[in-house]
Amino acid sequence: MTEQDLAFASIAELAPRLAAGEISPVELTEATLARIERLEPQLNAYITVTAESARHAARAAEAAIQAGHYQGPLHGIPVAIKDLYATRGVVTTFGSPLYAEWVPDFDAAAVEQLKRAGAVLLGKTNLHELAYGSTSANAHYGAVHNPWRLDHHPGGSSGGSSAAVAAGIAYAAMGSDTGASIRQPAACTGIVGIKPTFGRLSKFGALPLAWSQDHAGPLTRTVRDAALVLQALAGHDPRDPNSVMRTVPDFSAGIDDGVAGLRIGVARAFFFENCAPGVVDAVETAIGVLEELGALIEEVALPDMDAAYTVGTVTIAVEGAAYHAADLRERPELFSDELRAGFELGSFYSGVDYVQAQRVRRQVMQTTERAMAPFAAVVMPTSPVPTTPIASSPPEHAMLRPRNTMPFNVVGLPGISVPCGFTGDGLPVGLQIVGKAFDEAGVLRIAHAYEQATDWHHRRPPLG
Amino acid sequence: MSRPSLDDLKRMAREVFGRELSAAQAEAYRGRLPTMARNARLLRDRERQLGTLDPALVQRVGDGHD
Repeated sequence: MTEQDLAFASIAELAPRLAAGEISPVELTEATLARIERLEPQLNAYITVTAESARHAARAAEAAIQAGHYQGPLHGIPVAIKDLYATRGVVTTFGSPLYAEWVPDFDAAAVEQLKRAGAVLLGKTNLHELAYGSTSANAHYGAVHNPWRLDHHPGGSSGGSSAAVAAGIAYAAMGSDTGASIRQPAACTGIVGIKPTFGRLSKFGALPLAWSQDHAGPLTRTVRDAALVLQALAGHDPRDPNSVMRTVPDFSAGIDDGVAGLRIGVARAFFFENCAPGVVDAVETAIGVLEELGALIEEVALPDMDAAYTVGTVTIAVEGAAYHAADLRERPELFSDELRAGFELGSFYSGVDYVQAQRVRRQVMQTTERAMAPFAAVVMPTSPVPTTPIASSPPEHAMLRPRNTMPFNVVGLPGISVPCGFTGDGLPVGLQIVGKAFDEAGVLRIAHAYEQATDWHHRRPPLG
Repeated sequence: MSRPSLDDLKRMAREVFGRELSAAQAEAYRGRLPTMARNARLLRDRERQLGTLDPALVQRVGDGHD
């Protein structure tokens, strides 16, 4: 296996070889750390690389596997953590100088779960400041660069995670998603990102942006890998008041079942409007692939999506302003101008506005559930526009980026972004597949069927 | 979409949010204020359609549910 082949192998490919002792977790970790050292000057995907603790964890994984204590598919796999999750003994910045020196004495639930599964933590990835933004052009820790086009952003807010996975300097990475922040960066970098149903994964130890819309989830290079990582993360956690107590299915069990006979809705109204032409072309072609695979493609109208987007932006602005209220009053100089303005504006909404937004939210949840009832899933472009150049002031259409993802944070339904091609000028495009509540397995099944019929997940960015 | 003037932004803040902005504040809020004002107007326009609807529940009681 060449260095490149090793770097871009999937977790599902590596796991049996790690279990069989054909690949060593130490060699895998060393190769990844060497690649990080070589590519980080171009990417700036990490805020902190924990090389020594990664080596220690890799040695422990190797010893355990050799002793016959293989823990499962993440054992010995190097992964990255968005610097939004508390990590015991490792500085956790949230992408902000407010927390530049904070070293937690505990792990976030996601970090605990990944460690328990035997994963090797490589470090903490860069993000849009306090996760409030979609470019990961962090004013304090520098902009993250897209591996496909280094002068473009990798999406956000989980842009360090998306860049790291796309560049082969992590096999999976944790992201978080309040309006777009897993799925949109996945789309911008040609990888997979899944936002599970609200409550499926614990958010304990993750910095809130908006409590009622925040979701934890992984970014990976393949759909099967997303299922494997999700499996390690899912489950009830009494420390998270939104965590639900539901049976966790085997997310990989039906992943190969295909889409023949499944009714899949295409939500053209709202979601296909004002999209870049290259995005629409790629997504229409992807829908054709699903049809060729036997899916029953039908038009579906999801009503009130404009209202859902409005509810989402109001909710984030108000809940974000509430979380950061004390720091905005006492240490405003530690926010970038962009973030300070955003959170200050959140306080402009009245209490009545916020409650009305939550009433509209209930309405939208009901209408969305009704509209989706006949379908296994609905599909649309993940983002109406591809990545754009890194710039101090984002272009006008930057406001469009979360448009197609935000409604599903508002209603809490699971959504995945899977790579579905490139625009005419070579920028990655994502297909979003949204399922019914707690049907992550169904979403993964459709995404996997599509992925296996295409070769987008085998493409590699033009890095050295 | 044309770029709103500072006077437009100040008027928007006054009419929608009851806030008086300085020129510096209007400039700082330029990127987000028009969208936020649009959002507030949309919510207020819908108020009469909401009837007896409760807000969405975003918390659970007890240990959760299956």
